[in-house]
Amino acid sequence: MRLATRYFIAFATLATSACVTIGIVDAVGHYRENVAHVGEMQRAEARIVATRIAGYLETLAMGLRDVDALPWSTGLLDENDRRNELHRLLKLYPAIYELRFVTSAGRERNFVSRVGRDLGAENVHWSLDDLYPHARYVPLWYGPVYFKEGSTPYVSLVARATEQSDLLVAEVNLRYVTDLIAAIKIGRNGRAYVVDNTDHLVAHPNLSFVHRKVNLAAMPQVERARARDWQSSAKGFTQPAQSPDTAVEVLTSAQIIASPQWLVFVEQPLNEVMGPVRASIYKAFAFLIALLLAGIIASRYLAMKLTRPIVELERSAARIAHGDLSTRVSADSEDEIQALASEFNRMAENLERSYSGLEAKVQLRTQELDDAAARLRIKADEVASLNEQLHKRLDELAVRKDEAEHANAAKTRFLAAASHDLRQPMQAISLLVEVLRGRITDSDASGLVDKVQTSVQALESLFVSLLDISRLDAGAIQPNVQEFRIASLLDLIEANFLPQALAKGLKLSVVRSHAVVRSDPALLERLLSNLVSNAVRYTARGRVLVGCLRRGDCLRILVIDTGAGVPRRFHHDIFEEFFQLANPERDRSKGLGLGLSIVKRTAEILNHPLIVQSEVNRGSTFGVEVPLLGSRALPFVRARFAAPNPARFAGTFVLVIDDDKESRFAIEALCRQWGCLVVSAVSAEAALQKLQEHLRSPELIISDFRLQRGETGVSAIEMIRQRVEDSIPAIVVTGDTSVRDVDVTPQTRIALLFKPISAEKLWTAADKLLFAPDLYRS
Amino acid sequence: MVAKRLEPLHPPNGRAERVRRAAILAGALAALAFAGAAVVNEFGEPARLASGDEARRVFYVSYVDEADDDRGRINFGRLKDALNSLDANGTTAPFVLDFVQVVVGGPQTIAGTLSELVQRKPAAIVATSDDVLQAAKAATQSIPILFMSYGDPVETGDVRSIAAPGVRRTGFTIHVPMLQKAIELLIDGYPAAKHIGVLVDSLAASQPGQRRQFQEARSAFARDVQVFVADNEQQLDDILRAETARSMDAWIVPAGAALWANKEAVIHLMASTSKPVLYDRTSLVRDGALMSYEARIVDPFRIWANQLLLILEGVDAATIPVERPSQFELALNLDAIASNPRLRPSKRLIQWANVLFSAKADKRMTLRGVPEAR
Repeated sequence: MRLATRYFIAFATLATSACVTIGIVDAVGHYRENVAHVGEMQRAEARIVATRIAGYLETLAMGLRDVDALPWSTGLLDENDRRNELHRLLKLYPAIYELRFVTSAGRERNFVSRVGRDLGAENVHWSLDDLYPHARYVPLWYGPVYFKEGSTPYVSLVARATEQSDLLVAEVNLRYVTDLIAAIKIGRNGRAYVVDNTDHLVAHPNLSFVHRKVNLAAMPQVERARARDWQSSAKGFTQPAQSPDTAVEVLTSAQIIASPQWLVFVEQPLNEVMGPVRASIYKAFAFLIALLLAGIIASRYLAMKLTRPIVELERSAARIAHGDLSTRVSADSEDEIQALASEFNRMAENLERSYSGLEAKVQLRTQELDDAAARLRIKADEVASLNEQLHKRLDELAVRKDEAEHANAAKTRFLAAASHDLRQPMQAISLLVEVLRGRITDSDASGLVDKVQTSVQALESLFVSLLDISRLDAGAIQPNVQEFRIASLLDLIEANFLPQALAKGLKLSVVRSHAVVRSDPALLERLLSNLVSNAVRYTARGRVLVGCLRRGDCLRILVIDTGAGVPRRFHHDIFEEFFQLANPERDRSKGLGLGLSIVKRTAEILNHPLIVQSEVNRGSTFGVEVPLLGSRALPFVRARFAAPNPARFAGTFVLVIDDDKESRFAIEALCRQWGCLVVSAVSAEAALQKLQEHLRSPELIISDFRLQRGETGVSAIEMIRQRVEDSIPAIVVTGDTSVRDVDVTPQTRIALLFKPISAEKLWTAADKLLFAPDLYRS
Repeated sequence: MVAKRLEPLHPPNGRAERVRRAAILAGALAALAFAGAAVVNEFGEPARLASGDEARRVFYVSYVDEADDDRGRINFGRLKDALNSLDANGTTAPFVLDFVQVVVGGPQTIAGTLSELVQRKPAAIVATSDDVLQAAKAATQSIPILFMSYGDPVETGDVRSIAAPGVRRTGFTIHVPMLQKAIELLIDGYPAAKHIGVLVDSLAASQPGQRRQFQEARSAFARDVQVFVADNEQQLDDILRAETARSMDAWIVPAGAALWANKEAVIHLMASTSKPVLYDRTSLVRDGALMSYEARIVDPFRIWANQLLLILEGVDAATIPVERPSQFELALNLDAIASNPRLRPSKRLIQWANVLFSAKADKRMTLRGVPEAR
């Protein structure tokens, strides 16, 4: 809020408060004074009216007494004079309607009337006590008001000059009292009326209202007047009331006429009476408003006058703040404001000088900043050039990477195709050698067969490893992650490699663990088997330790040996294919150099980090980190890894479908050696035809994947199942590592084996399908 | 004062007589107004306007001989002024005061007009003459009627009593039975008068009340009181030429159609008898008559206004008293007395007189505050 506004509000509040207070006090005072004045005025009017009526009646009485006081009994005056005097009274007082002289004995001596014939002493007697009680004992007596012919009010006025004189009785028409009060102006619309001592209305400007013989005893103002002690308080009273004939709200004042005890009321409409009071209040308010306006204007003027120099200072400061340092304040008031203005001007001069020096420094710094910016722009151009070159190199590298990836894919496809073509004969040889072993009894020939089998196994091992790498590279292996107890896997490792270690004079120690991990147990088994196999193979003496270490939410499975160790510089190379440190002669008995490649690929698929710690002559530690779930009670699945017994297949009816004659013959021969009943065919149609010759359905189907005329082993199996029986378990054998669209879930009861398959693999798969189908996993 | 001409002598006729009475009453009102009321010549708009509320409409019905007779309108204006004066506060709910004028012999009869007006259910009807009163009486018993009457309204059956009319009719009457007072005054003024003639019109002569007054007067005074009936100037002339009339020592001439039709002629004829004549209108003294004794209504329009406002405020007209004269006035024409010594009254009468009029003297001779305007 601005200073001027604050000053204005303060001054205006002060002025208006004072004005309003004075105005209200003045208005209230005026109001009370005026109301009191109005009441006093009206009571005065009531007294005037009462005085006039009383005066009028007194005039009548005086006239009557004057006539009555004449010396009637002296004989100086006769009856004619008496009549003349009465007519004179009638002439003087129009209100007198009739007059009569009555003796103290009640005899009427004279009677004159305005309408009737005058009468003399006609021996009419009146009962004075009944008609005019007390009239004989007082000089003037007012009788009760009576209504002539029921409408016009009259009063009997009895005068008696002396105790000896006759009574002079006048019947007075009160219409003249009405005329009297009607002629009295009471304000603009006010009026007076008279109530007799029986509370009947006897005089009122509305004559017809009077003539209705109205009794006003019930009206509050009449009640109050009647209850009032007029002798002790003759001032009368004023009160709001209703007009008797119109029921208009009026202010009425009452006064009494002492004799004949009539009440005089004066009334004025409230709106008329209060008009001057309201006008006074309006004037007071108008004056108050004028004062307020004047106060507000004066407040405004004072506020502006007081704050003008300050406002000028504020504006000058604002101009300086906006950069106009040449601004100066002029003040000629010769007071503190002028001193302030002088100080302000001095400050502005100092500021202007300081600003001038600062501006030069700013220009210098600005120039320096511009130079630095130019240099930065040159450097930025250089960086941009280098960045462009880098992008070009990156693009080239991307191209080369794509080329390498394409080459690798081509290689993988080549290996897959080559392995398929080689697997067929290799499988046949392997199976046939197995068959041959069963048939040869000669020891020399048996030795040759063993050598052949050894060579075949080496060849098969090479193919298996290549196949594994091929499948891993081709993405044919998808991990089947589950939760399982690591102990079962370690048991299997120990069982598999303990004989081999003992044979080399090594100590194989497997430390038990109750940990439960989350991984694919088959792939993890293969990974650990490769690590343990390498450890056993490359440790000449000492021991191989397999154990587990908890690391946070991971379990480290470590294979530690006391072998020759791997130099640090080869820690990466050992995971490349066919890389071997100590086998320059490529002795197959020392492995193929593919194991760690398979480990690396398997670990990548499982997303398990590998651990390598090795030093020359100090042994090696290989390991893998597996997600740890804790120690839970999970079913022990060691049975899955138990070696099957071929004797269990005796009598099993096996259908073999293969378009390759040798391969079909080898499988057929192996199955017959196991004691199975075998039917073989080149296709599903041929198989169905042959099955018609048998009374029983095949219990196992072994089919090559790729058959003649585009038929696949899966479609052949489906056809056989549709024609013969739905739930026949089946094994699909293929040498194509790129095959991925074979559903091998347990529900399908189909196993997929990649060539070359050994007899052991075949019976293992057959055993699972036939005797433990729910435990089967591809 | 009235437009109706004197007609040939014929027996009293109902309607014609009523019309004539109306003219007489209108003239009387005008004279009263001249004598006792401020003259206000403003008229035209109704007293207080309200938009078309028939229940608050009041008809002021004037019945005149000729269409250009504006006395009705003048009196209407006086009533309106009296209403505005009395109701200056505006306490009475707004109403409309309509002026209705019916011309004798015009296209509309007074009975038909009143019948139509009654159909509109007005708040009240102001009957300015006896004809209008009779027509209104015939048309309605429920709508309040304000009337003025020359005769005794109780005797004519217009109301049941003066104090409480009992029917929805009220107003005022100038009737006061004071024939005996008039005879007494005449005797007081002229004690030698033994034969007193009373000149009335045929309508008055036929009223039972009048006849009763004649009887009572004859028995009350040891005088010969004769009643003469004349309805016009010619009849009066004929009567005065007759021996009986010529034997009369003094005359009393109450208000009558013949007098009001051509008062100058009547006064002249009566004066030609050189006998004392007592009239009942002070105004006739100013016109040259010897003397008068009048019972007068003070400010009749104010009385009507008072009564009308009471009715409009809801008071039953049957409870509103009929107003009667409250002022009595004995007037003597000093010029007439001076012109004929035989007409000189007793000192007593001169002393009793309220008004001693002399055209030759200035206004200071007027003893009472009676306006001198003519």
